[in-house]
Amino acid sequence: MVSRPRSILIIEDDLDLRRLLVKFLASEDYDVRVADNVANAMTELFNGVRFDLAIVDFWLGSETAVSVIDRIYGELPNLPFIVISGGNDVMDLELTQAIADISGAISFLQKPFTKSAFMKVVGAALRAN
Amino acid sequence: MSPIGNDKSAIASVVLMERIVRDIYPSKKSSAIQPLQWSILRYLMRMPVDRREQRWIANFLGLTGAPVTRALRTLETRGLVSQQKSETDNRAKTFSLTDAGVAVLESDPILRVARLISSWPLEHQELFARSIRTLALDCEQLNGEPTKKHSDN
Repeated sequence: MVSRPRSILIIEDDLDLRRLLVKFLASEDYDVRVADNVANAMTELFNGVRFDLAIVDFWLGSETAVSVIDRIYGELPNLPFIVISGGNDVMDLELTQAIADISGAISFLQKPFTKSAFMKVVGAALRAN
Repeated sequence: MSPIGNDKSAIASVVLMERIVRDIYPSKKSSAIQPLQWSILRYLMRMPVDRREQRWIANFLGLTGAPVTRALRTLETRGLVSQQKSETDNRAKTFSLTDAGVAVLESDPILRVARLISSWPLEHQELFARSIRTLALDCEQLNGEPTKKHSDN
């Protein structure tokens, strides 16, 4: 029996990083879709595709991804999500990680990160689900 | 009239929060582990070895290097933290918890309060989590709009 490839949604506003993450995941045969802002993330999440994992950049432009992760947590309870962030001038990473934890994130990854660190967190999240 | 919904009640809520946080760390002696040092111990417990350099710790906590260096030195003197050469950068050092550091985290003062919250009915926990998160985000917004993301984000 052939199993379907695992499907991952990347929600990241930085084009270069988004491309890099797609490359990382595609090289290991994940089916990857992307969104670059809150509105596109909502469209992707609720367009009928069954994702196995979401990777969510905490800061999407000047707004947080809290509305996105709240909808995942509330309406897609079987979809684990990883929050990634490098922080910004407003919110340090200790606080960002606490917000991610309290919002139900399965993991938090501090930017910048290596491919191996990223893939390790992705693998652990998928295994946990 | 309900006390909820007026300034007096809101101010009292903040007084309670301030008091709870102050009382979490009961010992004010200089020999006690200070809040920043606890934050560093928690960080070292949670993060992989490649993230346990001083610069990553400072970045995570939103601090400059100097206070983190001082706190690490104190923790090392107390035998709670040890330093090693970084495997990826010869010029850098990574820090790890010693056995004593792992043991001391079992008495992390915030755990006492976390256990109290965990003992509440689930709906109270959810309401509290949502409220404290909203407050944290609103307080950060008061500090100003984000102007610059850090570190390749």
